[in-house]
Amino acid sequence: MASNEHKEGFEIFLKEKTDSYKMYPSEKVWSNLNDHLHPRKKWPYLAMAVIFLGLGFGGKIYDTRYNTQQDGLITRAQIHGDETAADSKISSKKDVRKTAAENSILAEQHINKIVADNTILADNSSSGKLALIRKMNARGSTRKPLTLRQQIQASSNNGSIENDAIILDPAGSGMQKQDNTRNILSETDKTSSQQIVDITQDGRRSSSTLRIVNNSTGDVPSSFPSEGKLPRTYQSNGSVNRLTLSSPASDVPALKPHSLNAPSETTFNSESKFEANQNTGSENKTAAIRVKKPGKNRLGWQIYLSPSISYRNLYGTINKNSYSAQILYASLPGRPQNVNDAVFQSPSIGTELGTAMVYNIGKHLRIKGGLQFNYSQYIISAYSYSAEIAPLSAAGIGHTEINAISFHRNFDGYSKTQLTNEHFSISIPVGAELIVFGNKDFAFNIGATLQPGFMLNNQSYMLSTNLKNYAKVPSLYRTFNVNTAIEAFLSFNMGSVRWNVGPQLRYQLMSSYKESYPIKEHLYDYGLKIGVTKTIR
Amino acid sequence: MTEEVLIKGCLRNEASSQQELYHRYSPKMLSVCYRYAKSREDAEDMLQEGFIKVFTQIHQFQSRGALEGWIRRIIVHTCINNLKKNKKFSESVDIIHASSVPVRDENIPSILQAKQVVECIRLLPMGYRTVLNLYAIEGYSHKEIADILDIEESTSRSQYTRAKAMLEDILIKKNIITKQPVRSNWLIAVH
Repeated sequence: MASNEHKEGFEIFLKEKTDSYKMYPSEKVWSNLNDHLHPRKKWPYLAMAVIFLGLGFGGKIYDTRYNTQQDGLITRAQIHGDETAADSKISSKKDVRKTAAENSILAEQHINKIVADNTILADNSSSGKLALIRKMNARGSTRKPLTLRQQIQASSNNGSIENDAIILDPAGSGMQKQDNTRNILSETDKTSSQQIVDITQDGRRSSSTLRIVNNSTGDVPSSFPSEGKLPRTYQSNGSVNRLTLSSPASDVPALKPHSLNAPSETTFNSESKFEANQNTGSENKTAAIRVKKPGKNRLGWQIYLSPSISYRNLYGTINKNSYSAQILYASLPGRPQNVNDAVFQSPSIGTELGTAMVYNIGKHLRIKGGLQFNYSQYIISAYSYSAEIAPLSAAGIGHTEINAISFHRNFDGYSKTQLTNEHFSISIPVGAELIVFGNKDFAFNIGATLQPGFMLNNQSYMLSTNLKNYAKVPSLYRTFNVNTAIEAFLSFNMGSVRWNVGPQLRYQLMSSYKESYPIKEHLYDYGLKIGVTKTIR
Repeated sequence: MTEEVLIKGCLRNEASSQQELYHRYSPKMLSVCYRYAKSREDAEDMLQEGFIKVFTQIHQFQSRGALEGWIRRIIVHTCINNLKKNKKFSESVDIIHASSVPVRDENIPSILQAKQVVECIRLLPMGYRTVLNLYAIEGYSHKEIADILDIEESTSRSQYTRAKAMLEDILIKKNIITKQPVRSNWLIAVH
């Protein structure tokens, strides 16, 4: 490069003038530059989306499976023993007692090791749901005559149930290819006004029996096709109060309605295990059904949304002797004593969206934990101004000087403008809820959570330490923060879910900024929280 | 923060150091870009591109020289490369008889003398302006300019001579300088 020695005064003049000229680039240049140098990590957004979707799908799948089990039914019954049993007792082959009406009478029989091969589901709910019996044993003709997983739901309602259907699906020809023929017989117990349908395998009537006990209000055919011609679908218009199914005598004992009230030769224990006595060789086994009250529903899945008003508090003292303070005092009607009074800001709309698992640890106390996305914003009234250096560090020895270019003033600028500070964060709320009063249908609750979380953005305007300018300095933002929230809400049951509605206050415990920035900012939101909780277990 | 600390931070790809370095030098560098660019927006684009090169190539910086000079060279080369992408620029800078190019008669805002000078430089045709910037302000020789712009060295000289004459006229017209008739020396007009 040529030296300037040989150059004339004109060149020197040009160089001096041009070198002394400075231009301040707009903020977008650094923003673009920073984005180029440090591409924003998208994984928090992706991870958040995946988590939400996962929770949503997981909850849905779990819910669906749970409902299927409930619809498909079955399980616990007890006949003898205690007072509860007396309430729910199925005392004879005639009917299911009305006293069991409030309890689901569930019976489950695990009859064979190859349970999965055969599934019979029966939905006998009072709403007239479909009863489904699915036979999936299509694996070859040499298998055992019948292996079953039998799930039976006996409706607690003794009334008639319309459109009950039993679908026997032998899974194609697999069932018919079996050597053993299956006979389906129907009996009508006129004395007790019940219809009993027997499905017999191995040609032995007693070895595999499907008995549908009916209150004779329906039109169960008196006989089914026999000799292996098992109808794929059988629909009964009658009311089916109890469906019992038994397997070959060599495998499992049959359920015999006559003996339901007999001492428990065969019972369902509390784990719904089918317990057969040692008389497996006998043709018909008696069974007792144990009715058990459903366990407490302790675990729930909650989603909630909370539209809120977002705002902030600034903490810091004003150096009254500083030049900026003097200008500030001259610009403002009062003499602000702290930073919060020296800024002009207004709240704005924010929101929270979250999901949580809720666990009842007592009659009145629940704990919960989950994932929550938070968005908050507030508006700052400021002034546009030409580029200025904005100091953002604490004055004094030991503090590293931090300056930024600012195009906005807190006061005394060219034209008024509004700056919006937006905050996105994701947090993990952990807390508890307490039922203050009420019952299971309607209650008043209070709750509190602690919410450690991460800021997902740091592009907010910060007030310079001389209170004069606003500038963005992302490096001064704290990434990790902790919020707390308190809430009071009414909860009520609607359908199968529980709704929560009530006010909530959320407060940021740590300053938004790092310690090197002397002004402290604490965000808070107050809003209406609406949540819905589904009991899943 | 010292320059050495800044460089070390930038070598570690620390955003705070990069931001500090950017804020320290971007005002000067934008004015450099502005002298080459058609508009302020173009100048900012050049500045951005230039600083990307600065931060990605800072490991090549030899601490023996001044950081500002190193950054400035990168910025100037970025500006030139941007200009060379424009076909019209190549034509304009290669025209020997460019004196016929009319000078835009624009009002220069009387803010500061430095700004006035820069704005006057920007009134020159692109080819003239570039050669003048490189020779008179950046200090490149005509041979270096010829290499940078892919032109003949003689072309650079003639371009500069014409650019200088044209700029003199503009500055005199704008009453920024006066020419002493005897010593041919330049004095700054007092406002």
